[in-house]
Amino acid sequence: MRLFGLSAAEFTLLFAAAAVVAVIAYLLSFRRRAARVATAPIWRLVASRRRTPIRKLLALALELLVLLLLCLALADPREEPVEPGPPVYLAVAVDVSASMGAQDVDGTRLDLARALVGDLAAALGPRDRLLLLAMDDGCRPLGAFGRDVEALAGALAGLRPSATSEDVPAALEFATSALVSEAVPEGAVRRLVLVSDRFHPAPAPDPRLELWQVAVGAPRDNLALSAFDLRRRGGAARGSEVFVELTNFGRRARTARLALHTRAALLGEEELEVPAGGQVSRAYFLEPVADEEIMASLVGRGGEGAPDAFSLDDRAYGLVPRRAARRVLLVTPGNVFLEKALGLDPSIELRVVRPEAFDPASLLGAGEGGVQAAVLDGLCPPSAVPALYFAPAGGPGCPFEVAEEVAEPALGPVRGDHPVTVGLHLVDVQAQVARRLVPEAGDLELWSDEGGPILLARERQGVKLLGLGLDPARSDLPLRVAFPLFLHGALAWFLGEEPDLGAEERAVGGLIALPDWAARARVEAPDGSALAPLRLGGRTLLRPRLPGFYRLSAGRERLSVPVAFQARAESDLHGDRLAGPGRLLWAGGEVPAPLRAGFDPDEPLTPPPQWPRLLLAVVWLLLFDWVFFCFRILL
Amino acid sequence: MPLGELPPFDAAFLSRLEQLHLSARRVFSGRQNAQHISRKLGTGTEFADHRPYAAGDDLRLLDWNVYARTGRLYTKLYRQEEDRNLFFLVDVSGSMGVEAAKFDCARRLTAALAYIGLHEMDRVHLLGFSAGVTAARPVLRGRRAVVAMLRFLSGLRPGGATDFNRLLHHFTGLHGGKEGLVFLVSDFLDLERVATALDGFFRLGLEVVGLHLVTPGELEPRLLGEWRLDDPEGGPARRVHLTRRMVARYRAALGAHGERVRRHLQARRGAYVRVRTDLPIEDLVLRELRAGHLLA
Repeated sequence: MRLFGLSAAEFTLLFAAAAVVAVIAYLLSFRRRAARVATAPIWRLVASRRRTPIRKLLALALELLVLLLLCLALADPREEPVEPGPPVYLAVAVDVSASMGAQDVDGTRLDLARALVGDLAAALGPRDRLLLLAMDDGCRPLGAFGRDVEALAGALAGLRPSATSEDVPAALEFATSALVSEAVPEGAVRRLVLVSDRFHPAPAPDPRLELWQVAVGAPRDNLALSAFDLRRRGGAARGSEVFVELTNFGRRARTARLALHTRAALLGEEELEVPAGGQVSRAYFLEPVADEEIMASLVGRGGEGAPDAFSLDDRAYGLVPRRAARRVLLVTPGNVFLEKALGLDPSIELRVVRPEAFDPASLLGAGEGGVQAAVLDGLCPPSAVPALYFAPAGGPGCPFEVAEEVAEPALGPVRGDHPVTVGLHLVDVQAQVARRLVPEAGDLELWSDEGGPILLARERQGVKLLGLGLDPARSDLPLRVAFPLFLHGALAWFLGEEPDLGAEERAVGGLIALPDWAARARVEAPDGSALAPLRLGGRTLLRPRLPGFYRLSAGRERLSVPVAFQARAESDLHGDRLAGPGRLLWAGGEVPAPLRAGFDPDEPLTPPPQWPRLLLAVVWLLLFDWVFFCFRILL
Repeated sequence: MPLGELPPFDAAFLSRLEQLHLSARRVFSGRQNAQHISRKLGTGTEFADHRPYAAGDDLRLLDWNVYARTGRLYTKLYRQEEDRNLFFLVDVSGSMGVEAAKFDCARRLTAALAYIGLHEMDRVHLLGFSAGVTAARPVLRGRRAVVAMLRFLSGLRPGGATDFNRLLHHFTGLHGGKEGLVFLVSDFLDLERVATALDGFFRLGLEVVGLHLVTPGELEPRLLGEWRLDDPEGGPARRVHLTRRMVARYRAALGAHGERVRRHLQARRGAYVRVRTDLPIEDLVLRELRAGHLLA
């Protein structure tokens, strides 16, 4: 506040003089007049004590207030002149991940984010600019730096929550790059605003810009189907097994009804109570059903309504595995480890042959005996079907040339990028003796010691071969957990079963490998839209954006791919909401002050005068004085 | 008009006064013939009763008509018409002199009533009082005493504090045992003692007529703000801040005081008239007092 009409000293003197006059007049009003009254005894009855009424004090206070206002009006007080602020360049990354679709008090969290960003855009000054970014598992700009409020409103209205998680580091990197590379006026402020429903760990921002995180909405409880899997029952049993896991991301116990069903029939349901922050898992046997597409759904207690504010994780999808008859020939002199490890897999139809009863010619005829793959223990005949050779002896006809024998080889780690050895943990495998294999051109060394390869993968003319220079019976390899996985990976590679990936890979946002015929297939997404498979590195891949069943069809080929929503971070609707530097919580109302854009040059630098208001106040006070005293209030 | 000489009444007003007489609720015994009926039976004109004739009765009083009808002698008895005592007690305390009009009004009103009494051949006693009787005139009777009456009233001067008890004490000493009509011309501003004194007058066998004088300034005081109220009768001065509410309370208290005196007098078969001093004397006498049945 600054005085424009008078200096502070002048104002003080003026008001002091006026106040002194008023006080003197007030004191003079106590000057007593004398009167001889005949009725003095009557007066003594009614005026027994002297009292200065509050009215006089009020009148004095009112006079002083009026004088103060008049002096102020003469002094012409005004607000301090506003200093023009620097222009602000805003990059606003709006989280459109799955959790932004959760219901809040009014609408979804994304609605709140839209409102906030809309207010930010509306408050832009003429020299301010805003770049809108949408952030989920990728980051995409929705325009260029600008201040066209209508365009920004249109872009905001087009935002929809996806079914994926957000990739905050990528978004920050993108936004930082956009802000830093933008040509801004000198002195302009670069500000990056991350609008999400929680705070994210963020690296120290570029020193040239400000970073603010805004968490919109309020924490919510949520119950999620965190795991769902099916497998066909082994042996002669019919039907399949279902595994379901529920996770409560809330702060109190929740009860919901779990239903297993196909598109047309309810298979069963159970009401489950999940403790706060805990998990409940169930396994069910399913009778054989005609529909192979099985779904699990969560509904509210008693079967009414949605169980919580977030619906994406309330449903899971799975397929009843087809009974696959993989015919495998095992030639072994009696290695029970091999026989039992292969026999564990119910999809393998295993035929075990002793070496003396084995006819090497049976492997040369394509499809001979209906064998799809062979596992040869100590034998090394040529094979026209994919074959895994354990301890090949070498020699004529043997596909692998064998080098010298090594006692107690020091084996290194296996190669992790091949379908056979991916995910295997084979360290410190002890072998009494091993024989190195001599690689040929095109062979892949999957496992080696310091002298050469022990495990080679070869693919010639469509035939896949694996050679392992170890005798399982003379090593601790069969005792390792990785051993049956190695066998399973080898057979899957032989039979081209790369698509058989785990549940993690069949989640939204991931890459799902498809069989080769799917390259020409029509893919129907869960929402009915058509989708084109990706071709990447000679493989056919699917990148789903929604949970549900993706149905592929090409000619007579049919395939249904269940895709799950399994993003625990998105299901946790509480998230990190601890305030701190650069962090703001917002659930509606005014735009937080740190986010407001710069000064609007249209505003006058010198504030308007206040003396008319002061004079108006004086008039009101005088009117009040008149009413107060003329109508004898407090008199 | 300076305090002192009373302005003369005009002839028309005097002639009107001569046609009036002072009414009393009671009948008093007098000493001399006059125009008022006495309790005594005598030679008046108003028949009172018969009694059997006794030797020595005036034969002019025999009722011959009764004798003709009954054959027995009866003597007619008549009311004796006598004079009466009129006591005019004029308040000359300090409170009466604050406003000259108030004191003049008291004296002129007294003069008018005394004139009627003198005209009716009553015995008129004039007394001024404040703290007791401060001035007294020996009894006056007949029209010839009008000048003396006026001279006495003109000689009264206000001053001193009102003390009704001492007034009663002095009055008893001067006129105790006399019957009559007491005209108490005062503002009655001796709040604590007035009731006791009035009772004393009634116990003396007197009929008391209270003429309560109030001025417009007393009824509607124009005092607001800071004032020092001086008591003309020597009471302590009062420093007050007068508000409208306080003035309203004063008016109510003054009205209640007059009402208290009125009820006190009327309860004892006395009379009370509140006299506004701003009214002309002719209106006061010919209208207010007649309306109060003090004059007939």
